[in-house]
Amino acid sequence: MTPPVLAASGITKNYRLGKQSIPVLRGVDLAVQQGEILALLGASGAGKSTLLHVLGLLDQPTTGEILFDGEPVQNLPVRERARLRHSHTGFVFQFYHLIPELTALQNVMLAGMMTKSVLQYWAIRKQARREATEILEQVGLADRLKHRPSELSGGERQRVAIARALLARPRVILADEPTGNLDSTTADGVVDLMFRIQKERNLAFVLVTHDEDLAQRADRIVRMKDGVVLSSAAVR
Amino acid sequence: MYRLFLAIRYLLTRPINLLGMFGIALSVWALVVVVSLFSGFIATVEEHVHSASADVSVSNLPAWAKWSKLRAALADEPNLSAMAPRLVHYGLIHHPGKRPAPPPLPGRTALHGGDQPFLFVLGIHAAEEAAATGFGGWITDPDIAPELRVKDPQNALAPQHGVPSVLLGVERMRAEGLRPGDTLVLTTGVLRTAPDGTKSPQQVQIPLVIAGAYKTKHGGFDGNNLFVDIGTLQQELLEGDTDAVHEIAIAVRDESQLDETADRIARIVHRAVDRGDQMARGTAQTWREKNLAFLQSVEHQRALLKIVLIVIMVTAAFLMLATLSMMVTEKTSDIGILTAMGGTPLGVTSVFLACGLTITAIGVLLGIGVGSLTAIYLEEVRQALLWAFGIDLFPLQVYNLDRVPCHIDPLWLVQVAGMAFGTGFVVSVLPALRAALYDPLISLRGT
Amino acid sequence: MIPAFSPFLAVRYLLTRPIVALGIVGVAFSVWAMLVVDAVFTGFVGDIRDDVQRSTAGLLVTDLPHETSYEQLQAAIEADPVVLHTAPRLRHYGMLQALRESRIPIASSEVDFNHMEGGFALLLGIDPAREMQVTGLATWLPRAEKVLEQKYGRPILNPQTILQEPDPERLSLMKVPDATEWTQRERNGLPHPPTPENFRSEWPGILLSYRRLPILPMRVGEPLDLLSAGFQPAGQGEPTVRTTKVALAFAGYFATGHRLFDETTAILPIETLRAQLGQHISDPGSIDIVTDIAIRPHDGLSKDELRAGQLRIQAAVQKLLPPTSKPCSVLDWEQQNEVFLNAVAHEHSMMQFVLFVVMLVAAFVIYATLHMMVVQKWKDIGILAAIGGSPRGIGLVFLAGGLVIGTLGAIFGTGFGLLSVHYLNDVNDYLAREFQVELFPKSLFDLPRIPCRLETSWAIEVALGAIFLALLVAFVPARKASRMNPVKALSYE
Repeated sequence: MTPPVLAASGITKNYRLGKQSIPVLRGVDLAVQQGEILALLGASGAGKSTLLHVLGLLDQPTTGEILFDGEPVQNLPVRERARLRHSHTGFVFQFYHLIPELTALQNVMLAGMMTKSVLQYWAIRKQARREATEILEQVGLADRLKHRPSELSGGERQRVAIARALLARPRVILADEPTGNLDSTTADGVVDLMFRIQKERNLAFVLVTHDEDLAQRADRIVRMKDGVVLSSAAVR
Repeated sequence: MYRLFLAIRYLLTRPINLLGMFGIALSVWALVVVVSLFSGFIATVEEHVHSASADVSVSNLPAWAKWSKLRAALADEPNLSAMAPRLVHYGLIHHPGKRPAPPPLPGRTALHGGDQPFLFVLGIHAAEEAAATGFGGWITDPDIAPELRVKDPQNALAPQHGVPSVLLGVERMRAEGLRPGDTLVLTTGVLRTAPDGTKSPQQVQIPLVIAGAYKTKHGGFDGNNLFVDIGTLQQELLEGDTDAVHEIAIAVRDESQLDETADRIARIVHRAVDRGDQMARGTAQTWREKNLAFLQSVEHQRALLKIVLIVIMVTAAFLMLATLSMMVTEKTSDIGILTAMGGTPLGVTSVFLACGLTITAIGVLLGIGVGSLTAIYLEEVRQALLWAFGIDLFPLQVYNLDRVPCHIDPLWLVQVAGMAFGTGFVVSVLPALRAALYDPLISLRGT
Repeated sequence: MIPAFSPFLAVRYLLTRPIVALGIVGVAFSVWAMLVVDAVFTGFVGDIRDDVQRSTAGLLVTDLPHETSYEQLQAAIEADPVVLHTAPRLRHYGMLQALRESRIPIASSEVDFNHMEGGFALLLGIDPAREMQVTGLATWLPRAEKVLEQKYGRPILNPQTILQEPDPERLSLMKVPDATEWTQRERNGLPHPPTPENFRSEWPGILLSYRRLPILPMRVGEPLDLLSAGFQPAGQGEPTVRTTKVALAFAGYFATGHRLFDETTAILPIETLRAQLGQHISDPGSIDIVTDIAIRPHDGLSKDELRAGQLRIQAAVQKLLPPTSKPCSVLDWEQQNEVFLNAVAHEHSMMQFVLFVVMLVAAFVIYATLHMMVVQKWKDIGILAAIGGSPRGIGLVFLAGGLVIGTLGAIFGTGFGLLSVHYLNDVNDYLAREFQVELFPKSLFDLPRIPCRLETSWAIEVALGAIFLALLVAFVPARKASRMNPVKALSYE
């Protein structure tokens, strides 16, 4: 059997607050298979977002291992980890986190220029532009390419963020409350879009949410509380 | 009230504003230090020059001028406290038994002379000279080594064994290894009229004996002048005319009326020497006028440096403009909140204006404080630099000084502070106005 | 490796921030100020140095003992490969006295001796033919005509031809034309034949500085008496001093532009001066004494070659001098004017210190701009990390920002600097004429035009310095950005 595309074993994470060490994650084990949608469900403060950051190599666990395709990666050099963040995982955030100075197209293009050398700047840029246009068309923003984030609606901004996450063809999408800031109609559209693409590309999908309904559309629900996994159950 | 409160909060939470403050402080510092150095230099030079000059000098007198007549005419001048006649000539001094070196190369000589055997010869009447100038102090200056001193300062120029006495600058005595009692020969020439009316220069040699050294604070004077008794020159050059005079040194009672006094003296002299052909010559100059060219050249340098120093302040203005503008940009949402809470545009403006002016004020205070300290301890700074890096900030020996001069002019401090506040105000108003013109809705929405 | 996104994002950041323009303007302004102020000062100092060099021989053998003979040293010096020509020189001092009713004022006790403008003179005895091969003597006379014409707004002197005399004998004594001397003799009541025919001029010529003109306006050929003191060559006993007097004819005005030289020196034939010192050419025992030997080195020698030549010549000359004599010196033109040039250089260095402070404040401007950019962009740093930016790549965004600000500032500053240096005099004149504002008051310089010299190397140094400084100060915020914890950055509000 192929190893899980993304796995975590024995993850703990403590935050330092003054002299105190506050545990946020207290031994989490998790595995995500290719093509699986996994919902991380829990109240706020349960450690879901921290776990997501650790899974996406944005944050270092205090102890434990992160495995990409069965390989431990958390101790790789900074540059390698940055590269993996780029090529293995894609992030979608609640607050979109687009760069306000850049247009929708440029925000997406940026993702295509993260790890390539400046030496072939124009070629890389051209390629990134083509790919970004293509992918923005896929998410239905063909007519919004030249707009800045401030000129887009919340749903549109999130689509741009999704397009950016997808550009480098990652195999895992890590989404942190992607609909938390949207009204329900818009949210449905965004979720539909995400899941459609997930199916098309056979991606692994980790979805952090506190929305029970949204979680029910996943393949599997992992419930967390106070930094530990309470249960992991497949959705029928 | 909230304005000042907010202004101080904003400043305290933004260390980058220190940079603007530092920029202003640096420019103020440089303006204070460099200008004080030059002002001090000018003041020192003036003091030195003054110490070697009479308050007012009457010179360019025609050959027919008579001391007795001029003295009587000048006695009416109320502001005149003393006057002394001088004969001025020039000559070559030579020490018997030694051959002088050739004259120095023009660019290699000491800047204010003193290292060539050519000198001006001042014929003076010692007692009258002492009343009219600092002559009495020059020959008793404590810096003159005891063995070089004049034995009898009351009769400094009394002949010794029938040989006329001469006084030399102390540096020249030291450099040439001369002692009181040594003999010198002064070689000079004078235009004589033969019985047939033709004029021709005649050589004159006057043997002299050194009575001792003198020292004014003006090295350029000491290096280039020697004193002999006026009678000696009258005898040797003017065929015994005891009433001849070339120059009159005048001391005044009230220094504050120097210029007016000089003008009055000039008129008196003109009247006294005029033979009716309107060719009357003779000028009366204050000591400052006499040394105008030299004093002006230093003042020109100070003026030039001021221009360049202003450039620093302009650059510092850019710095403050940058930091303040950024603060406004960053605080757009606060501006919205303030306006929403009922702040007027004027109120919002004043918050940022207060920020800018506070920065300026602290910068100016810091700059003036540190600048004044640096200026006061400039000599110590110079020595520290010399010791640590071998850099000499200021060539003391060139100007015959014993420490770096410094004169802090309160007026200049006020000018600098005013300039800095003006700059600070302008660069604060621009961002503050921008802040006031923000649409509160846009600023609340942020990006 | 520099990732492609760094410059991409840096440019976008800069383009969307008007404040960056301020940073660029700040840098440009300081670069501009450094170029213009230094150009004026370099021009000023450069003009002075040019004038000094023009008055000075390329090399000068000096500090020779009394009674040194030119003949004795000439061959040894001319044998050195750096030497092209040599000329004998004899320095002495004397007093000049015009026979005419003197307008030399009675010397004033407060005149600085070195700036004597009266009857004193440092006498420089030269062999005109040789001197013209070694220094610019031939150009000093036309220069005086030009300087005086500029000063008074009309030609003051007729072209001076004294140095174009074809007869070597007459040239060596700088004699004025026969008829000129005869006229002057007649006018001054001096012995002269009844008619100018067959009269041969006798007086040696003397060249005076143009600076003496206001005090001692002379006509060519006018007689002057030179009083001096000579010393009998010391045998075993004491040297004895004797005064000497010689009649000379005024032969012309010269101007080298070197203030100290012009204010002090009078130029006359070396043989005349030798005679004054007891070495008359017709005496059988006389020698051709010199105090210095001026050398014209070959053109295009490097500083090192010249330096080596100085050492060789010094050694060669020293060997020929009496064993007891003090070491002689071989000085290049800068060493000959050491004291004067040092005083000038010191003023220049004061100005450069001020300019350094300007650059320092300009560096603060760049730092402030970039620092603010980093602070405003905390969240972007987190985003970039999330989509795979390496810390180095993120830092490079800000470094690139600094580079762009520095480069643009340097380009604009240099551009404006070059323009304003080129049009400085025009702008200054225009402002003075139209608004009575003088940026660079002419009275400060005492020159018809503001001297202005922008050295390419200085412009390049300043521009590169600005860029380097920008990179240096950008490094601090860039490092801050690259070390930012991405999770913290993302949650930054």
